Amino acid sequence: MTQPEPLTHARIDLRRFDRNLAVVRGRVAPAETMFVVKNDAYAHGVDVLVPRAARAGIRWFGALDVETALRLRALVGGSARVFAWLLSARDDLGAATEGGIDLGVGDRAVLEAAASAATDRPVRVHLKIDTGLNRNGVRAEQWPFFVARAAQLQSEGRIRVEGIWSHISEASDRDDDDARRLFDESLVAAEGVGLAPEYRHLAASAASFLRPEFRYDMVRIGAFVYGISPSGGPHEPELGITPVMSLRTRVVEVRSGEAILPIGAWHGVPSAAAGLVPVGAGGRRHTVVRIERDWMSVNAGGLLRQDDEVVLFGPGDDGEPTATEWAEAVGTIGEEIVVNVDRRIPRIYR
Amino acid sequence: MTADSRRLSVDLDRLTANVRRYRAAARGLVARVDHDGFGLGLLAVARACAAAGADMLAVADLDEAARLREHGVETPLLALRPVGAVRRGARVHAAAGSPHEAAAAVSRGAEAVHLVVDCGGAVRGVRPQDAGELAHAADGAPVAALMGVADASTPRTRASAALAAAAEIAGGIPRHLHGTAGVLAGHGADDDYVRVGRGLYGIPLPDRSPTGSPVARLTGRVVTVKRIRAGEGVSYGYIYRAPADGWIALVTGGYADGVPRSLGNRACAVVNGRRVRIIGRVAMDVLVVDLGDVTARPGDEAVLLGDPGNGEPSVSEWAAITGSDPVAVMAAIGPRVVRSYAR
Repeated sequence: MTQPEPLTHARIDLRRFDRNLAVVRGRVAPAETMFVVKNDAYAHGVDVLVPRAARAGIRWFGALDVETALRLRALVGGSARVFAWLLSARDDLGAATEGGIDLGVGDRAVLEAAASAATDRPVRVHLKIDTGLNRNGVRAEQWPFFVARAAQLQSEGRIRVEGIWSHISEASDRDDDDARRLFDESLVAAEGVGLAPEYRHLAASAASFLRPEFRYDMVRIGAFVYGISPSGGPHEPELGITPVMSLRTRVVEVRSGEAILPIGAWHGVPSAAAGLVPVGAGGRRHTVVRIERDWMSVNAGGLLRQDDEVVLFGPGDDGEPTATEWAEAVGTIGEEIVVNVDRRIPRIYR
Repeated sequence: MTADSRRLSVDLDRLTANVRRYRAAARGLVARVDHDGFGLGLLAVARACAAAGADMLAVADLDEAARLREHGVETPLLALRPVGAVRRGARVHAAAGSPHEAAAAVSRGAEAVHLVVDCGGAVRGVRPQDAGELAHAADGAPVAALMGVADASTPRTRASAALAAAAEIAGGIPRHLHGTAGVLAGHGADDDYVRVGRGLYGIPLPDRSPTGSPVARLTGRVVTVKRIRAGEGVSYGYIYRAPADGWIALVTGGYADGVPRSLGNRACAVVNGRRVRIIGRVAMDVLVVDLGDVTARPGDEAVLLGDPGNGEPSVSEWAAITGSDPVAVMAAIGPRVVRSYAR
């Protein structure tokens, strides 16, 4: 039996995805692009996007943890590099090593655990310096000891230092400049103990696009490949990217001038956005009136009819705002809007 | 991180006790297990509700109904919307508030409909005073029950009267209207069923008053423990700066797991029995806590949501920060979080 297209679904536009990926790579070249696909490719679906990116020539994938990394390894085969960085000494680093995963290590205990997981070939590690974010990463005063130990483990053939990396706060250009200075100092310190790895990486989407001096050998990009721009700008048109996901549904009923949609806070629509954002339908915008648990309503404006397709957010083809515009309305970022789209809403690729 | 680094633990004894309590308040209980069992896991929650005496289970749509049938759940099922894939023989009722919905229900394999009746301020359903509409609303589909709906501002007694009037016209079929708030206010005893969701899970009402003992507990784990110096920032945007030297911990749990980004600097976790503050922006996968004088090690559990009776952070605390209904907090817990069940 042929099933009709689901009433509510997230459309993933593969041509826009391809274009964003090409724009990103062109912009940051000659730096390598690591495509960050944690959280099921920001809720777009790794099963489709990861093999597609690999065919387009992406050689590095950012996984988050060992579990995700091993899943990606199965998707991309042996030659691509897969990077995992949320690690603890309790993790199955043996399986990660066997899977040829690159490990982002920002902690002495994890460094030792990684080295212990070495088999006949060394474990590939990227040493993380904390340049101010105070999440994972080795503090600057501990860095000399950390790189000295890493150099020793490398000489013993247990690890191979493939990279040195960090993560910036994007609090301000000045804060990021401070972070970059610290990063450069830590590279010098590493070189002092004989570590000069092939991949130095510091920047994610925004800095890699807007501040070339942050690119080094590789950048780690998620948001921009999915077409998600920063809140407060620069926005998609200035960046040359377009949103890949559009969240779509249909009017189930029109009542007292309100068109009722069968999607609500339970599906990830932020209830605080009621009254603050429009949706798009047939090129026109209709203001959101209410967002309840499992339904919402928009101003029908005398135009919307039962079964009409409505787009909550997307690239704008039907008049809809972007996910970032929703985010700005409720004081957050586009990533939070997109990754919270209920995973049970079907993804339709086209 | 290991697979158990993000966990939602469901206490089935508490769930059972809550179900029995609401079941005792009426002649019958329709237990709402829709939206994946309010985010706790459809199958386990449905089985526990059925075992505890629920007479019928309400699911979101025909897809959730089919999932339960495929896994051997035999309890009567009500799909709250007549959407989802077409399946025959699933022995499911579907709610329908218009001829259009009734036709959709039948064409997608529902056996009968529960006719949705607008008992005040609802955006769905037929109006009870309109006898002609009542007769035709189901458009020939068999009507198994009347399902009253009303907005929160409609007085419960008026909604009850509206449904009773409709029942008189329709004649002799079961009816249900009241949910958690109605039952707690003493309504529903005269109806065939009450239709309860959040109370079964101990999720507070929108005004944050309690409904039962909380059944779920969301935990992350400490990844690393490290020093911070006075004046240093934490996480994106440096919205937090350390007032003094101290110790901080990186903890699994981020906005992709349903920990709202806006909790940074405003909510707490519990580590080793003590409350610690979440500092800096909550990121997609992790958050940072100020350990103060609490001792912690990598692998230690961090309770993000739990039972306020035990000093753990509550759904209400989060809802107060995000301005949302507590029920939306629980349903937002992400797919990466492992659900586990214990008695």
